Amino acid sequence: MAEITLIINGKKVKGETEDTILDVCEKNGIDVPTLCHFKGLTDVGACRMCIVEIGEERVAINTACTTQALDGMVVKTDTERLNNLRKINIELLLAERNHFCMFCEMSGDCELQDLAYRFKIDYIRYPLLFPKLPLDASHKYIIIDHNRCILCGRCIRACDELEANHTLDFRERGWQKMINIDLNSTLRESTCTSCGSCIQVCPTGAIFDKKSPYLGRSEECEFTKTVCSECSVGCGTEIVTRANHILRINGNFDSDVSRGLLCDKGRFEPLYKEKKRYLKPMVRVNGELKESDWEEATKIMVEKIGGMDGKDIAGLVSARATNETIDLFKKLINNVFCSENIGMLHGPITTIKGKGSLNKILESDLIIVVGADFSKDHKVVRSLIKRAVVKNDSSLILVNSNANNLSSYAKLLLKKEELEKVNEEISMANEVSIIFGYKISGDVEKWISKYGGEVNLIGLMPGTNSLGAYKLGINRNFKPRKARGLYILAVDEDNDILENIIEEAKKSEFVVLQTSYENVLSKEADLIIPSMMWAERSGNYTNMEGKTQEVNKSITSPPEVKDDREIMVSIADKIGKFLS
Amino acid sequence: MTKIKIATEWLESCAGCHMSLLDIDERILELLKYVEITSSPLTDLKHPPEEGVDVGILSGGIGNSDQEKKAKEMRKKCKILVALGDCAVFGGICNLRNFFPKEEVLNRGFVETESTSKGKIPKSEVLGELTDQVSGVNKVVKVDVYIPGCPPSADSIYYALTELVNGRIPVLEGDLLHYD
Amino acid sequence: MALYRAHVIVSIDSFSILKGAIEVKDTLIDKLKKYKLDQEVKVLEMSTLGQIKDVPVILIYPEKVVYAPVKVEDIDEIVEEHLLKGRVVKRLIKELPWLPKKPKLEEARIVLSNAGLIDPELIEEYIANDGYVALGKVVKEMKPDEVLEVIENSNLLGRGGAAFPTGLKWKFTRKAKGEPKYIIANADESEPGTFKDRLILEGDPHRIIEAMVIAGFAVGSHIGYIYIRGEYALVIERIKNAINQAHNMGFLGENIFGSDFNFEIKIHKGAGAYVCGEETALIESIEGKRGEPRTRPPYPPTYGLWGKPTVVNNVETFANVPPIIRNGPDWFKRFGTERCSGTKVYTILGNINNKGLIEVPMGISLRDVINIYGDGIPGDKKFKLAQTGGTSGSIIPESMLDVPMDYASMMEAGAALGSGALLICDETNCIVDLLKPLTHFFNYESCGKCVPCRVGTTKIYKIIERISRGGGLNTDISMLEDISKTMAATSLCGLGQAAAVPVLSAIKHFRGEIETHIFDKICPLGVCKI
Repeated sequence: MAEITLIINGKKVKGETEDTILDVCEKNGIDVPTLCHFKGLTDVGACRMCIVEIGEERVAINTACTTQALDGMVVKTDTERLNNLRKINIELLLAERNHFCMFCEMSGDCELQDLAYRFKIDYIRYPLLFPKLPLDASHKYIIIDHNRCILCGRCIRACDELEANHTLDFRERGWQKMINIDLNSTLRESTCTSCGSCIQVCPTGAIFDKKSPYLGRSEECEFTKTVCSECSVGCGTEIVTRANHILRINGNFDSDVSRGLLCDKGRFEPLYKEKKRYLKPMVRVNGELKESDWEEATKIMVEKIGGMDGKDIAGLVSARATNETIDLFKKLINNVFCSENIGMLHGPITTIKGKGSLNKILESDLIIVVGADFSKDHKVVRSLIKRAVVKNDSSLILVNSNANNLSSYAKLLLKKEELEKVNEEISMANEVSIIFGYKISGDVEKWISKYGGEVNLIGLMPGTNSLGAYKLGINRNFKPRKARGLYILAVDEDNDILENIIEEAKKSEFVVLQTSYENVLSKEADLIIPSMMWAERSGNYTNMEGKTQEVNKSITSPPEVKDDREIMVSIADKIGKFLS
Repeated sequence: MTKIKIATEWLESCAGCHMSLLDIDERILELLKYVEITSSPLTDLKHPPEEGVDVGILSGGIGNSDQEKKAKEMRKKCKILVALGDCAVFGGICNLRNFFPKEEVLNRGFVETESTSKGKIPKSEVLGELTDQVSGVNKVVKVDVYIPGCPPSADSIYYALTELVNGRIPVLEGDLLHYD
Repeated sequence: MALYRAHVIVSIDSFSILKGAIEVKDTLIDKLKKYKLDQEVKVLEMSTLGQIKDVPVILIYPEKVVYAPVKVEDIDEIVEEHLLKGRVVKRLIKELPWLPKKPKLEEARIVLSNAGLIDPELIEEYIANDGYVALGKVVKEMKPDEVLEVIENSNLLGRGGAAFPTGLKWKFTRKAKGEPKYIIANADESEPGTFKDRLILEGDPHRIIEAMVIAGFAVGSHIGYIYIRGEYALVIERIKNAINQAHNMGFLGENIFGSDFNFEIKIHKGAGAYVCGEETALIESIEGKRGEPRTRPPYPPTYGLWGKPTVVNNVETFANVPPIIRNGPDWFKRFGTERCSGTKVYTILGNINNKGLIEVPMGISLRDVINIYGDGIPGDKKFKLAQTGGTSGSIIPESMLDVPMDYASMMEAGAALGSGALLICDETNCIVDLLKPLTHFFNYESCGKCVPCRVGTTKIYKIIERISRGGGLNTDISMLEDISKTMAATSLCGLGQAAAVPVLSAIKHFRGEIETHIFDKICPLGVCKI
């Protein structure tokens, strides 16, 4: 990549050899209007908004996003002629379909509207045609309204290039061209994976989510960059909030890990959970949970748990807790309650020595998936695998897994007994990625460790911060000794993890449950301490690559709900021990 | 100095634009130093005066023959015609009936409504006829100034009126230009 | 191989079939059997003999006599009098414009030198007419650079409409990096009113094959595609046949003429999209994607089929290559004008006595074509306008009738020659009525990728349609001009850029007539139903 110089609007500016004219403008802060361009997706030059004048003697008009920048090029981006042509272009778009700003969910956040304002369009000259176009609201999370579509194709490119699913494409031609789902299916019945990338890239109100409409425009909201709490990938997210209420979860295109990609588990489901929130400490009196206060809660804690012998106490922590919280919890159980019995709610994890990064999946020519499911979580890893196979021609071998329907893309489908067949494939490949799930058997573990050092090794974790907890020294099976006192730091853990502890909880004398929502363990709890949920927490997580990422809170917890660490410090304080 | 005469009228509309006009609150006192509001749905006079006005303001779109007449009358009697609000500019929300044939619309409104029994589509010489499609006022008259919005904000209306008072055609931009 | 003493060619195409051509042919074959002449006289079908009116057409060789129109009842007489007794049936004789016994203008049959004169299903007849001599010369005696020199010196311009210098295009492709390189013949011919490529391919398929192999040799390519529009069923059959025969004779495949040069040709069928005649949309179509044009640069010579250097040329352009190689560039430059050498095949349609195909040197004026070749306008009506270049061509008023028809002069006069369709309209035609199907065509064929063309063609059609119904608005002409100028300046491909041309030129030359429709709400010629 060499440096080149262009003259844009009379000024000398610098760029690099592979840049388009638009890239050079963006690098130098020159504003060129765009519509079908989206950073991270290929450019098509369909909207004709980024037209620029190229050349001096013979001036050609071409789109900046598709024209390669050459050394010495003379470009004008802001002439009267260009702006006139752009204005007519926008007028044509406004007159094509049914753009009713007054009741549109995206009014105020619409790129088409912004451009119309920019070119001071105060009325539409061309008679409107009122084509009858459909609206597809069949999907659980997403609505597609063709009346507002400008056929820029960003959704198609996102579905194809980011999620590698290609559920969306065009059908028909000319003025009958439409965004098409599979073979003219509804979104609900389609192959859509509900990743939601289309929502984020759509410039108008044509594709939007069902939860956030009318709850606030961008200018009225706050945007917090953080990391998803739903699995150990740790995708970068951006939480959109207003008045302490979460409106929407966006993908963060600047995240090294996910580059803007999300899945339905991280983007939609957290907003669809309807669970009863604990707002105050609860004490079980005569078999019923009754509201209490912090005074009483800490008093009971000190009495009951503090009064037990260390060997009778056990601590269990959720992998959704931050590193700081887990660290403090360990210190509390070890140093304050003098117990060695501490484990993860989801049980111990398998770690195999080796280094790995998700980005390297796209550079691998051979990808081996062992025992990983992808139907519940880690869906972004599956998207990256599919992208590598479909776009980069990588070979895929599935062992004891169909990777949630990727079988038709695989070169080999093997059972774990046939692992030896993979050895030859590995020897012939250049870059190899091995991705393994969290329920693999001993001999599979041994086979993988053979290659651990040479390949791009990615082990999926059963919980969000499992690797962080492991590095903090918590990785044992919780042995079912009769722990008389059980302190469960569940935060906002899912029921299917908590289910496994119900039996232990039943056997204990006193169960302290520090949690955000009512769950399957609530019935066994003697003392419930309200805990912050994912959006209220700050700290950091360590993802399955070993990367530590910052978690930033986006909303403030209800007044009586305190930070987990604050609670633990005050318990220790009451006992008379110092906890830092 | 002679005050600028203004007349307003509302057509196929919800009256929101006139409410927005009133929303300029106490600024109206300042405005009234330079402006005389002659006829309007809000004042006693219902038709523009015979000698005409300087600025005619139409809010609402053209949806029936009656409104066509009123729009033409306003155009004849004013020098500068202002289309106020989305409905006057391009038909606005009222455009939603353009997706259905006129007969279906009348049927739904007068016969099929759940609370109607033995409904009939009214027909009389005194009543206007629905146009086939709703449109902005520029379909039947020449418009000089467009103020989009649903409704246009009081600030936009105030700005436009002050510009007109100062003899300039207002150009809306920034916060004053919005379609919602 | 059987030797026949006479060949009878019957026109079998959509026009002729409607007028009973199949029955004519069947009756002819029966009659020949009855008279036991079927071993001496061979009956051939050919799709278009360039005629539209006065069909079906029968062409008898070796006398080169044309009978048109022929009814079933005439067959008896033709067989008895002409084929049996050798007496020509005078009342049925007709002169075909492109097969004139007495040439009316200069004899210049380069592209159509074989069409209609040889049996397109026999490679031997092509070879007998200097077929594959050029290929032999190229492969055995010339180097690729020499071939490029010859084509460049001949000044051959692309005949598909864009008029890009063919030699330059081949040179760019040769220089470009990337393997394998491709040669594509654009036989998509969807421009309404143009059917010259069909005649060339049906009548002389080997010519294109020869030209493509020569191009491959010059450029360094071993694979060629012929993109044939799906509707041309006979063309596809003939080409398939010709490819097989060329293989058998060693003109295609491995070791052509015993050299170490190989070349393969594949056929790709179009599926009914006008936009796939645009070279990058055609390439996308071959790749199996939606037929939408690509943004340029890069152009096909550097980034074409599958991203490799590709030559895309029109069938007529290729048809000129073998004679240029055989006779040299200077021979070719003797035809036509200084800036545009060679000939052009035109299809003449509309209000004209002699409709059909002609091949004339570049530089002939439209007036000459109408009066001399076309035999004038029927009914002694006055000429009103012509549209050159197909539906996307400019409207030519009477004042431009003497402009020499070559690419350069036409462009200077503000018109375009395009692919060679000439639509002649007399004074009874209404300009708005003419624009209606034109603008509808572009609206229907727009691929929809870019905004100005997709929405622009819709709006233009709706406005013209509304004007033709008497619903014209004061702002209509300025709206048409604005939209057309935007389309011409910012459309992604030639379709959008060209769709604006007829509208703008109509407004330029016939503004008054359009305004009468709009303001007075009448059609001065009484054509539009207002």
